[in-house]
Amino acid sequence: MAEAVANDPIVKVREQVINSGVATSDELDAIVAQFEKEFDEAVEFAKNSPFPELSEVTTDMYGVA
Amino acid sequence: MSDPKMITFTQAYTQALDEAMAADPNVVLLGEDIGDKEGGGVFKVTAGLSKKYGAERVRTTPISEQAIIGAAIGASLAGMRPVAEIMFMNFITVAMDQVVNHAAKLRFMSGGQTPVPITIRTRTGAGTGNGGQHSDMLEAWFAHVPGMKVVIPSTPADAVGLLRACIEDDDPCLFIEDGVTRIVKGEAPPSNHKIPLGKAHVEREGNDVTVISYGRPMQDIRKIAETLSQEGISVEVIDLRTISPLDTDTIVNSVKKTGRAVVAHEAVRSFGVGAEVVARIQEYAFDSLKAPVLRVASKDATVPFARTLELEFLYKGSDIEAAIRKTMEEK
Repeated sequence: MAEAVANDPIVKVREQVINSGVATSDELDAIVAQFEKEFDEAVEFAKNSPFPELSEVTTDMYGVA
Repeated sequence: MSDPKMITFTQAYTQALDEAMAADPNVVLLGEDIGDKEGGGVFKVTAGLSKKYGAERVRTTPISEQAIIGAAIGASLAGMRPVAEIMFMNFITVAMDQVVNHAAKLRFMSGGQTPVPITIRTRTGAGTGNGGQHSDMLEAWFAHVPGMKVVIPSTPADAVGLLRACIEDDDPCLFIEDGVTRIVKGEAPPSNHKIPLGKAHVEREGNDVTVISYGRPMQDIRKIAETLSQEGISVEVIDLRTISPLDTDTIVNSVKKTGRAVVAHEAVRSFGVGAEVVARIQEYAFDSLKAPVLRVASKDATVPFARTLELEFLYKGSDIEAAIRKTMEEK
Protein backbone atom coordinates (compact mmCIF):
# COMPACT_ATOMS: atom_id res chain seq x y z
CA MET A 1 0.00 0.00 0.00
CA ALA A 2 2.78 2.42 1.00
CA GLU A 3 4.48 1.58 -2.29
CA ALA A 4 1.29 2.33 -4.22
CA VAL A 5 0.89 5.66 -2.43
CA ALA A 6 4.51 6.52 -3.20
CA ASN A 7 3.74 5.84 -6.87
CA ASP A 8 0.57 7.96 -6.93
CA PRO A 9 0.70 9.46 -10.44
CA ILE A 10 -0.94 12.71 -9.30
CA VAL A 11 1.78 13.27 -6.70
CA LYS A 12 4.49 12.20 -9.12
CA VAL A 13 3.38 14.44 -11.97
CA ARG A 14 3.36 17.38 -9.56
CA GLU A 15 6.96 16.62 -8.61
CA GLN A 16 7.91 16.28 -12.27
CA VAL A 17 6.27 19.59 -13.19
CA ILE A 18 8.14 21.37 -10.37
CA ASN A 19 11.48 19.61 -10.99
CA SER A 20 11.36 20.34 -14.72
CA GLY A 21 10.79 24.05 -14.02
CA VAL A 22 7.37 24.25 -15.74
CA ALA A 23 5.74 25.72 -12.62
CA THR A 24 6.65 26.40 -9.00
CA SER A 25 4.99 24.79 -6.01
CA ASP A 26 3.30 28.12 -5.21
CA GLU A 27 1.93 28.44 -8.74
CA LEU A 28 0.47 24.93 -8.60
CA ASP A 29 -1.05 25.65 -5.18
CA ALA A 30 -2.65 28.78 -6.64
CA ILE A 31 -4.17 26.79 -9.52
CA VAL A 32 -5.59 24.22 -7.09
CA ALA A 33 -6.97 26.97 -4.85
CA GLN A 34 -8.60 28.66 -7.83
CA PHE A 35 -10.38 25.45 -8.88
CA GLU A 36 -11.40 24.63 -5.30
CA LYS A 37 -13.00 28.07 -5.13
CA GLU A 38 -14.80 27.45 -8.45
CA PHE A 39 -16.07 24.07 -7.24
CA ASP A 40 -17.22 25.49 -3.92
CA GLU A 41 -19.09 28.27 -5.71
CA ALA A 42 -20.68 25.73 -8.08
CA VAL A 43 -21.83 23.58 -5.14
CA GLU A 44 -23.31 26.64 -3.41
CA PHE A 45 -25.03 27.69 -6.64
CA ALA A 46 -26.51 24.21 -7.06
CA LYS A 47 -27.69 24.01 -3.43
CA ASN A 48 -29.38 27.40 -3.71
CA SER A 49 -31.03 26.68 -7.07
CA PRO A 50 -34.45 25.10 -7.55
CA PHE A 51 -34.63 21.74 -9.30
CA PRO A 52 -35.13 22.11 -13.07
CA GLU A 53 -38.64 22.35 -14.48
CA LEU A 54 -39.85 18.88 -15.48
CA SER A 55 -40.40 20.18 -19.01
CA GLU A 56 -36.63 20.64 -19.27
CA VAL A 57 -36.11 16.87 -19.51
CA THR A 58 -35.83 17.16 -23.28
CA THR A 59 -34.55 20.75 -23.50
CA ASP A 60 -31.10 21.08 -25.06
CA MET A 61 -31.12 17.62 -26.63
CA TYR A 62 -30.86 19.37 -29.99
CA GLY A 63 -30.22 22.90 -31.17
CA VAL A 64 -32.89 22.96 -33.85
CA ALA A 65 -34.58 19.57 -33.92
CA MET B 1 -32.55 22.06 -73.62
CA SER B 2 -29.16 20.50 -73.05
CA ASP B 3 -28.84 17.35 -70.96
CA PRO B 4 -28.44 18.02 -67.24
CA LYS B 5 -24.97 17.63 -65.78
CA MET B 6 -24.57 14.25 -64.07
CA ILE B 7 -22.36 13.49 -61.08
CA THR B 8 -21.58 10.39 -59.03
CA PHE B 9 -22.26 10.07 -55.32
CA THR B 10 -18.51 10.38 -54.71
CA GLN B 11 -18.39 13.62 -56.70
CA ALA B 12 -21.39 14.83 -54.72
CA TYR B 13 -19.64 14.32 -51.38
CA THR B 14 -16.57 16.12 -52.71
CA GLN B 15 -18.71 19.00 -54.01
CA ALA B 16 -20.40 19.44 -50.62
CA LEU B 17 -17.09 19.43 -48.75
CA ASP B 18 -15.52 21.83 -51.25
CA GLU B 19 -18.44 24.26 -51.04
CA ALA B 20 -18.56 24.05 -47.24
CA MET B 21 -14.83 24.75 -46.95
CA ALA B 22 -15.09 27.68 -49.36
CA ALA B 23 -18.05 29.12 -47.44
CA ASP B 24 -16.68 28.82 -43.90
CA PRO B 25 -13.00 28.89 -42.83
CA ASN B 26 -13.96 27.01 -39.65
CA VAL B 27 -14.78 23.87 -41.65
CA VAL B 28 -11.87 21.43 -41.31
CA LEU B 29 -11.55 17.81 -42.39
CA LEU B 30 -9.80 15.02 -40.56
CA GLY B 31 -9.46 11.30 -41.20
CA GLU B 32 -7.16 8.52 -42.30
CA ASP B 33 -5.24 9.21 -45.52
CA ILE B 34 -7.55 12.05 -46.57
CA GLY B 35 -4.78 14.47 -47.61
CA ASP B 36 -3.59 14.54 -51.21
CA LYS B 37 -0.09 13.42 -50.20
CA GLU B 38 -1.72 10.25 -48.87
CA GLY B 39 -3.92 9.78 -51.93
CA GLY B 40 -6.90 12.02 -51.16
CA GLY B 41 -8.79 9.38 -49.21
CA VAL B 42 -9.20 5.68 -49.81
CA PHE B 43 -12.40 6.42 -51.74
CA LYS B 44 -11.07 9.72 -53.19
CA VAL B 45 -13.83 11.82 -51.62
CA THR B 46 -11.32 14.39 -50.34
CA ALA B 47 -9.11 14.33 -53.45
CA GLY B 48 -7.84 17.81 -54.30
CA LEU B 49 -9.08 19.45 -51.13
CA SER B 50 -5.78 19.60 -49.23
CA LYS B 51 -4.13 21.09 -52.34
CA LYS B 52 -6.88 23.69 -52.49
CA TYR B 53 -7.31 24.50 -48.79
CA GLY B 54 -4.01 23.38 -47.26
CA ALA B 55 -2.94 20.49 -45.06
CA GLU B 56 -3.88 22.49 -41.94
CA ARG B 57 -7.55 22.24 -42.89
CA VAL B 58 -7.45 18.75 -44.42
CA ARG B 59 -5.61 16.71 -41.84
CA THR B 60 -4.50 13.15 -42.30
CA THR B 61 -4.65 11.40 -38.94
CA PRO B 62 -3.18 8.26 -37.41
CA ILE B 63 -5.28 5.10 -37.60
CA SER B 64 -7.24 5.82 -34.44
CA GLU B 65 -10.97 6.41 -34.77
CA GLN B 66 -11.17 7.37 -31.10
CA ALA B 67 -8.60 10.11 -31.66
CA ILE B 68 -10.30 11.28 -34.87
CA ILE B 69 -13.70 11.73 -33.22
CA GLY B 70 -12.22 13.02 -29.95
CA ALA B 71 -10.19 15.66 -31.80
CA ALA B 72 -13.23 16.62 -33.86
CA ILE B 73 -15.32 17.11 -30.72
CA GLY B 74 -12.62 19.18 -29.05
CA ALA B 75 -12.18 21.36 -32.12
CA SER B 76 -15.93 21.88 -32.35
CA LEU B 77 -16.04 23.07 -28.72
CA ALA B 78 -13.37 25.62 -29.67
CA GLY B 79 -15.56 27.00 -32.50
CA MET B 80 -14.67 24.91 -35.54
CA ARG B 81 -16.94 22.79 -37.74
CA PRO B 82 -14.97 19.58 -38.17
CA VAL B 83 -15.93 16.91 -40.68
CA ALA B 84 -14.42 13.60 -39.61
CA GLU B 85 -14.10 10.68 -42.01
CA ILE B 86 -14.44 7.16 -40.64
CA MET B 87 -13.33 4.98 -43.54
CA PHE B 88 -15.80 2.14 -42.83
CA MET B 89 -18.82 2.40 -40.58
CA ASN B 90 -17.85 -0.71 -38.63
CA PHE B 91 -14.72 1.11 -37.45
CA ILE B 92 -16.81 3.71 -35.65
CA THR B 93 -17.44 1.04 -33.02
CA VAL B 94 -13.95 1.86 -31.71
CA ALA B 95 -15.07 5.46 -31.11
CA MET B 96 -18.48 4.78 -29.57
CA ASP B 97 -17.48 6.37 -26.26
CA GLN B 98 -16.60 9.61 -28.03
CA VAL B 99 -19.81 9.60 -30.10
CA VAL B 100 -22.31 8.41 -27.52
CA ASN B 101 -20.92 9.73 -24.23
CA HIS B 102 -19.47 13.01 -25.48
CA ALA B 103 -20.68 14.26 -28.87
CA ALA B 104 -24.33 13.40 -28.27
CA LYS B 105 -24.48 14.49 -24.62
CA LEU B 106 -22.38 17.61 -24.11
CA ARG B 107 -25.09 20.04 -25.19
CA PHE B 108 -27.64 18.64 -22.73
CA MET B 109 -25.18 18.14 -19.88
CA SER B 110 -23.99 21.73 -20.10
CA GLY B 111 -27.49 23.18 -20.15
CA GLY B 112 -27.19 24.05 -23.82
CA GLN B 113 -23.88 25.91 -23.42
CA THR B 114 -21.64 23.61 -25.45
CA PRO B 115 -23.12 22.38 -28.73
CA VAL B 116 -20.99 19.89 -30.70
CA PRO B 117 -21.26 20.84 -34.39
CA ILE B 118 -19.36 17.91 -35.85
CA THR B 119 -20.18 15.85 -38.91
CA ILE B 120 -19.02 12.26 -39.12
CA ARG B 121 -18.91 10.93 -42.68
CA THR B 122 -18.71 7.20 -43.04
CA ARG B 123 -19.13 4.58 -45.72
CA THR B 124 -20.72 1.17 -45.56
CA GLY B 125 -23.12 -1.25 -47.26
CA ALA B 126 -23.08 -4.89 -48.33
CA GLY B 127 -22.66 -6.07 -51.91
CA THR B 128 -19.03 -5.60 -52.83
CA GLY B 129 -17.47 -8.49 -50.92
CA ASN B 130 -15.96 -6.46 -48.12
CA GLY B 131 -17.04 -8.97 -45.50
CA GLY B 132 -18.79 -8.66 -42.15
CA GLN B 133 -16.44 -6.16 -40.53
CA HIS B 134 -16.75 -3.59 -43.35
CA SER B 135 -20.40 -3.76 -44.44
CA ASP B 136 -22.86 -3.22 -41.58
CA MET B 137 -25.64 -0.63 -41.74
CA LEU B 138 -25.56 0.59 -38.13
CA GLU B 139 -27.83 3.64 -38.47
CA ALA B 140 -30.31 2.34 -35.88
CA TRP B 141 -27.59 2.26 -33.20
CA PHE B 142 -27.00 5.99 -33.54
CA ALA B 143 -30.67 6.87 -34.05
CA HIS B 144 -31.16 5.26 -30.61
CA VAL B 145 -28.95 7.94 -29.05
CA PRO B 146 -30.86 11.19 -28.39
CA GLY B 147 -28.68 14.13 -29.37
CA MET B 148 -27.37 12.50 -32.55
CA LYS B 149 -28.72 13.24 -36.01
CA VAL B 150 -28.47 10.46 -38.61
CA VAL B 151 -28.66 11.19 -42.32
CA ILE B 152 -28.54 8.93 -45.41
CA PRO B 153 -28.88 10.31 -48.96
CA SER B 154 -30.42 8.41 -51.88
CA THR B 155 -29.34 10.57 -54.85
CA PRO B 156 -26.14 12.50 -55.60
CA ALA B 157 -28.07 15.80 -55.49
CA ASP B 158 -29.51 14.92 -52.07
CA ALA B 159 -26.02 13.89 -50.97
CA VAL B 160 -24.75 17.40 -51.67
CA GLY B 161 -27.68 19.13 -50.01
CA LEU B 162 -27.82 16.91 -46.93
CA LEU B 163 -24.07 16.90 -46.32
CA ARG B 164 -24.01 20.72 -46.51
CA ALA B 165 -26.90 20.82 -44.02
CA CYS B 166 -25.07 18.44 -41.65
CA ILE B 167 -21.94 20.59 -41.71
CA GLU B 168 -23.92 23.77 -41.00
CA ASP B 169 -26.00 22.09 -38.28
CA ASP B 170 -25.07 22.77 -34.65
CA ASP B 171 -25.65 19.16 -33.55
CA PRO B 172 -23.47 16.09 -34.11
CA CYS B 173 -24.50 14.52 -37.41
CA LEU B 174 -23.69 11.08 -38.73
CA PHE B 175 -23.73 11.11 -42.54
CA ILE B 176 -23.78 7.62 -44.05
CA GLU B 177 -22.49 6.99 -47.58
CA ASP B 178 -23.35 3.82 -49.49
CA GLY B 179 -20.20 2.15 -50.75
CA VAL B 180 -21.84 0.02 -53.41
CA THR B 181 -23.46 2.83 -55.39
CA ARG B 182 -20.69 5.41 -54.99
CA ILE B 183 -20.10 5.58 -58.76
CA VAL B 184 -23.81 5.67 -59.63
CA LYS B 185 -24.70 8.96 -61.29
CA GLY B 186 -27.55 11.36 -60.81
CA GLU B 187 -28.43 14.87 -61.81
CA ALA B 188 -26.08 17.48 -60.35
CA PRO B 189 -27.65 20.03 -58.01
CA PRO B 190 -27.11 23.76 -58.39
CA SER B 191 -24.24 25.21 -56.37
CA ASN B 192 -24.82 25.78 -52.66
CA HIS B 193 -27.67 23.26 -52.60
CA LYS B 194 -28.92 22.58 -49.05
CA ILE B 195 -31.72 20.32 -47.84
CA PRO B 196 -33.28 20.77 -44.38
CA LEU B 197 -32.56 18.00 -41.87
CA GLY B 198 -35.42 16.22 -40.11
CA LYS B 199 -37.72 16.38 -43.15
CA ALA B 200 -38.72 13.34 -45.19
CA HIS B 201 -39.27 13.73 -48.92
CA VAL B 202 -42.46 12.56 -50.64
CA GLU B 203 -40.69 11.68 -53.83
CA ARG B 204 -43.63 10.21 -55.69
CA GLU B 205 -47.28 10.72 -54.89
CA GLY B 206 -49.69 7.81 -54.91
CA ASN B 207 -52.96 6.63 -53.40
CA ASP B 208 -52.77 2.87 -52.75
CA VAL B 209 -49.70 2.15 -50.63
CA THR B 210 -46.91 4.15 -48.99
CA VAL B 211 -43.37 2.81 -49.32
CA ILE B 212 -40.94 4.30 -46.79
CA SER B 213 -37.22 3.87 -47.23
CA TYR B 214 -33.84 5.62 -47.43
CA GLY B 215 -30.44 5.13 -49.00
CA ARG B 216 -29.76 2.41 -51.53
CA PRO B 217 -33.18 0.62 -51.59
CA MET B 218 -34.66 3.88 -52.92
CA GLN B 219 -33.05 3.01 -56.24
CA ASP B 220 -35.01 -0.27 -56.35
CA ILE B 221 -38.21 1.38 -55.17
CA ARG B 222 -38.21 4.04 -57.90
CA LYS B 223 -38.24 1.29 -60.54
CA ILE B 224 -40.81 -0.84 -58.70
CA ALA B 225 -43.19 2.11 -58.27
CA GLU B 226 -42.94 2.82 -61.98
CA THR B 227 -43.57 -0.83 -62.91
CA LEU B 228 -46.56 -1.15 -60.60
CA SER B 229 -48.09 2.07 -61.89
CA GLN B 230 -48.41 0.32 -65.28
CA GLU B 231 -50.66 -2.21 -63.52
CA GLY B 232 -52.70 0.51 -61.86
CA ILE B 233 -51.10 0.23 -58.41
CA SER B 234 -50.44 3.75 -57.23
CA VAL B 235 -47.39 3.84 -54.90
CA GLU B 236 -46.48 6.83 -52.75
CA VAL B 237 -42.72 6.86 -52.15
CA ILE B 238 -41.19 8.52 -49.09
CA ASP B 239 -37.44 8.96 -48.77
CA LEU B 240 -36.70 9.60 -45.10
CA ARG B 241 -33.40 11.42 -45.87
CA THR B 242 -32.96 12.03 -42.10
CA ILE B 243 -33.34 8.88 -39.97
CA SER B 244 -33.20 10.78 -36.68
CA PRO B 245 -34.96 12.95 -35.77
CA LEU B 246 -37.62 11.04 -37.69
CA ASP B 247 -40.24 13.04 -39.62
CA THR B 248 -43.32 11.35 -38.16
CA ASP B 249 -45.80 13.81 -39.69
CA THR B 250 -44.87 13.10 -43.31
CA ILE B 251 -45.10 9.33 -42.74
CA VAL B 252 -48.36 9.45 -40.82
CA ASN B 253 -50.08 11.87 -43.19
CA SER B 254 -49.21 9.64 -46.13
CA VAL B 255 -50.38 6.41 -44.48
CA LYS B 256 -53.63 8.08 -43.42
CA LYS B 257 -54.19 8.73 -47.12
CA THR B 258 -53.13 5.35 -48.54
CA GLY B 259 -54.03 3.01 -45.65
CA ARG B 260 -51.16 0.66 -46.49
CA ALA B 261 -47.43 0.84 -45.82
CA VAL B 262 -44.19 -1.03 -46.50
CA VAL B 263 -40.90 -0.04 -44.87
CA ALA B 264 -37.67 -1.13 -46.56
CA HIS B 265 -34.05 -0.89 -45.50
CA GLU B 266 -30.76 -2.59 -46.17
CA ALA B 267 -29.93 -2.97 -42.47
CA VAL B 268 -30.74 -6.25 -40.75
CA ARG B 269 -34.40 -6.76 -40.01
CA SER B 270 -34.70 -6.84 -36.22
CA PHE B 271 -34.69 -3.84 -33.85
CA GLY B 272 -34.12 -1.44 -36.73
CA VAL B 273 -35.43 1.76 -38.27
CA GLY B 274 -38.23 -0.31 -39.86
CA ALA B 275 -39.51 -1.31 -36.44
CA GLU B 276 -39.58 2.33 -35.30
CA VAL B 277 -41.44 3.48 -38.41
CA VAL B 278 -43.99 0.66 -38.05
CA ALA B 279 -44.49 1.55 -34.38
CA ARG B 280 -45.20 5.19 -35.18
CA ILE B 281 -47.65 4.23 -37.93
CA GLN B 282 -49.63 2.04 -35.55
CA GLU B 283 -49.50 4.72 -32.83
CA TYR B 284 -50.75 7.55 -35.04
CA ALA B 285 -52.49 6.03 -38.08
CA PHE B 286 -53.93 2.73 -36.80
CA ASP B 287 -57.51 3.60 -37.66
CA SER B 288 -56.56 4.26 -41.28
CA LEU B 289 -54.79 0.93 -41.85
CA LYS B 290 -56.31 -1.50 -44.34
CA ALA B 291 -53.49 -4.04 -44.06
CA PRO B 292 -50.65 -4.94 -41.66
CA VAL B 293 -47.57 -2.76 -42.21
CA LEU B 294 -44.77 -4.85 -43.69
CA ARG B 295 -41.01 -4.66 -43.32
CA VAL B 296 -38.41 -5.57 -45.93
CA ALA B 297 -34.82 -5.82 -44.76
CA SER B 298 -31.69 -7.90 -44.97
CA LYS B 299 -31.46 -11.12 -42.98
CA ASP B 300 -30.53 -11.17 -39.29
CA ALA B 301 -27.03 -12.39 -40.01
CA THR B 302 -23.44 -11.27 -40.29
CA VAL B 303 -22.77 -9.94 -43.78
CA PRO B 304 -21.04 -12.90 -45.47
CA PHE B 305 -17.94 -12.61 -47.62
CA ALA B 306 -18.92 -15.28 -50.17
CA ARG B 307 -20.64 -13.61 -53.13
CA THR B 308 -23.52 -16.09 -53.20
CA LEU B 309 -24.19 -15.73 -49.49
CA GLU B 310 -23.83 -11.97 -49.55
CA LEU B 311 -26.60 -11.77 -52.16
CA GLU B 312 -28.69 -14.20 -50.10
CA PHE B 313 -28.19 -11.99 -47.03
CA LEU B 314 -29.23 -8.75 -48.76
CA TYR B 315 -32.80 -7.51 -49.10
CA LYS B 316 -33.99 -7.83 -52.71
CA GLY B 317 -36.00 -5.49 -54.87
CA SER B 318 -38.34 -8.41 -55.54
CA ASP B 319 -39.00 -8.63 -51.76
CA ILE B 320 -40.15 -5.02 -51.79
CA GLU B 321 -42.40 -5.60 -54.78
CA ALA B 322 -43.88 -8.73 -53.18
CA ALA B 323 -44.57 -6.85 -49.94
CA ILE B 324 -46.37 -4.09 -51.81
CA ARG B 325 -48.52 -6.65 -53.63
CA LYS B 326 -49.29 -8.43 -50.36
CA THR B 327 -50.57 -5.24 -48.71
CA MET B 328 -52.74 -4.72 -51.81
CA GLU B 329 -54.49 -8.06 -51.22
CA GLU B 330 -56.29 -6.45 -48.27
CA LYS B 331 -59.15 -4.28 -49.51
